[in-house]
Amino acid sequence: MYLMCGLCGALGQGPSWEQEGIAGGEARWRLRRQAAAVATELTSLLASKRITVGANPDFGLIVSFPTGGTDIVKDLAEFWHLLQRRGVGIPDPLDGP
Amino acid sequence: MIQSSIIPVHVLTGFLGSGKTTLLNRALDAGFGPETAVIVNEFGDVGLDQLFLQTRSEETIVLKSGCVCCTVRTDLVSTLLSLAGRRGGLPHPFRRIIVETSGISDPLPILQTLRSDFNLLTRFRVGAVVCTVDASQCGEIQIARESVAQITAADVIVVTKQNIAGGLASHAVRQRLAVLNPLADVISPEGKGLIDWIYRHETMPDDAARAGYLDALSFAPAPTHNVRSVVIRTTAPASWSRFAIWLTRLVAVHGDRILRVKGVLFDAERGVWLGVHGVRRFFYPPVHLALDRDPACGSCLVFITEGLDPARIEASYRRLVGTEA
Repeated sequence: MYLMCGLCGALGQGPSWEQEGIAGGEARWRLRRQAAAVATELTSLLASKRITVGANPDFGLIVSFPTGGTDIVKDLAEFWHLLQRRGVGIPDPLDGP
Repeated sequence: MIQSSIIPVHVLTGFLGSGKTTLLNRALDAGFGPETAVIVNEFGDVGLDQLFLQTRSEETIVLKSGCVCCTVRTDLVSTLLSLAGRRGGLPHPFRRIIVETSGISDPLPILQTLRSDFNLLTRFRVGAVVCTVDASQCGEIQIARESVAQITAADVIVVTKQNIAGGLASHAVRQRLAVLNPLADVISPEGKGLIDWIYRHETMPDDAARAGYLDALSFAPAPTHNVRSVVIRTTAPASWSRFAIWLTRLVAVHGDRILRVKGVLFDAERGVWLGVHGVRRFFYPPVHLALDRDPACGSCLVFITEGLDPARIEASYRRLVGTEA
């Protein structure tokens, strides 16, 4: 059985990454690659707000704000919560192009 | 797949007087007793439910002085950890825990507690949400906001008091439930129906049935109580990263109005089917499904919303996630 990581949507082995971690070099490589893809997507999404996102699979997402502040979050749910807590409006995915 | 060291915690919810304790008594009597620990939550200052719970469980604990979904969440965590600590010393170690909520509880915070507390994560997993609905009080579903939260969070709905309500009213209730939560199984309380359902839920390789009942979702339920649903039929997301960002962003912005998400999606990169399941802002860990055959519905996502046009979600998915050709 495999699970999708809450961080990035990458898939790893075991009933839960939180409980058993990921197994094998390929899974770790895949996690790193997809974490980087998530960070790139998020940075692009939030470009107008000058927020940049980096990925470190060992820590989570590293979020840098235009005022110089930096935060680390462990997954996407925490990421959006962080934006809300900092008063950054989350672009509504239901809004049209 | 059974994870014997990880104890499933099932949540028994339902509005006031809908028959939760009666159903629990019946399940304990019918074979659940020796292998089930029970946590009962009462809202009032004086706990009464435990008096009505003619329990056959060796471990029954009452959480008083508050609603388990808000004021006594800390108590729930400590109680679960205490149960886990005592489990090894019991002559018949329990295999599951059932949390009976108060009638006005929202089950969602309980699920969130189980998934967010690190100490719980290593010992427990979220089981099923069982919801009782009183067929004789079906009109109340339209009134009680709590009922809608309970019903839409349920994996299985037990329609009680059908003998009082009569056949027509019971049928009407089932039709209404099919609109409010087309993803839940609806069963009757008689016999061992619930026990068999729980056993199946605990032992089935994770939720292969999920694809099965999504297959059956070929109808378009009429909107009721401002609750609506949509089935997004698609091929595999072009990018799993993009899909994860879209889904979590959607839930972050509109989570209060997205009552339920469930779906199966084909992961073309690895050639497997992925199951996705969420209740408002709570998401179960997505899993790769062990399916004997491809689901007839293909890749699809079901959204149940309240006060939100689900067609906008479908349009957003197609615009922002995209699909492989």
